[in-house]
Amino acid sequence: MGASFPNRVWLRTVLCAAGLSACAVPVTAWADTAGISLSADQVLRFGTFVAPSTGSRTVDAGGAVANSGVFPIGGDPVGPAQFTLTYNRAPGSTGAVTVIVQVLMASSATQVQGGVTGTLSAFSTDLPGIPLLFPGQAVTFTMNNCRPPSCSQTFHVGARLDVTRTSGGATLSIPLPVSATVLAVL
Amino acid sequence: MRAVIPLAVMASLLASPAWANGQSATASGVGRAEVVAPLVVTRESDLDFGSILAGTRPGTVTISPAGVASYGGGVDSACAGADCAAGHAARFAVHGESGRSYTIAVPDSVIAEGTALQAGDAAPPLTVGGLGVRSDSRPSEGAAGQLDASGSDGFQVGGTLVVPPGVPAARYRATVPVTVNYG
Repeated sequence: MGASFPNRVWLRTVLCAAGLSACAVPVTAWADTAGISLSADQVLRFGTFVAPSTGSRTVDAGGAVANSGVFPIGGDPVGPAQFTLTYNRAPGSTGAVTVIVQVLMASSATQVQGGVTGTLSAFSTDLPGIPLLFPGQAVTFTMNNCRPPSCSQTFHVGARLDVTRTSGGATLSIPLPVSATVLAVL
Repeated sequence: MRAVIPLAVMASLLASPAWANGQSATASGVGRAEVVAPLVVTRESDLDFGSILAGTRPGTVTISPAGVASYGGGVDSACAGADCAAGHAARFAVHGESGRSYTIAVPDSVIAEGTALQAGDAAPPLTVGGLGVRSDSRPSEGAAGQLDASGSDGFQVGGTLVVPPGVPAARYRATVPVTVNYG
């Protein structure tokens, strides 16, 4: 990888100190950092279902649903989680860049509520070229042609919810933390 | 002029940078589900039309979902004393997720098969129609109910037995499938 962002600032500073033409570029163009944001737009919705004992319900990134040992009831909406990753270009920046982003999902979560245990696994996404997400294992994707002021990538995450029920019912709300890190801007 | 050339090269390098950024963002998504305990339905008593007298005219005996017996045509109750087994509606107990509503489905009619009490008689099949449901929680809403705070409710099923003329003495039995679902 090339010089780091601070190095660029340092280089500009050196050029300015030398009284060279690079000083014509406003300092703020380099002092203001670009920014990345990640928003959770939609929860991963498994809906309402009857679970006699053990079973699972899978909602994949495309919204397809599969049931095993559980029986959906009611008309609750079902669908994958949606996230939007936005890369904000630094003020004053021009042209298109390619942003390489690493996406990481924390380890799979389990929730126990009363006599119901739910576990998320088998995560799927519709990120370009990344059909599956494995907890704790980072994946990398590229945002091409990222032009000012920002570019964004919306993606969906599906999963399988395994349920074990020994008594009663429960409302499960299992965290699905996703982080994104800019690896490089080219 | 010599100094300008290296600067131009530097400027060119800066125009197409590749640098590690290291910026991160985290979003907390959620996987959400409502897991519901299954319904458990227990039969507490059968739909019983009791002992009836069938004459030469067709008739009916009806047990309402509330358990009230009525007779029509050439059919009447055979009960003359207090010890006679009177007709009554079927009763079911329902247990499940508290506060949830449920629906009950019964067929429009079923066929009762008879066993003649005297050798040589043939008991024709009889139709049990007009099957109706009444829940404890929503008695005026037909085939629907709602589980109480403890997750319990109950419902009754009634119907009408159609009796043709000249039916010999016989004992009849039918199976009425009852389906209960969360609704």
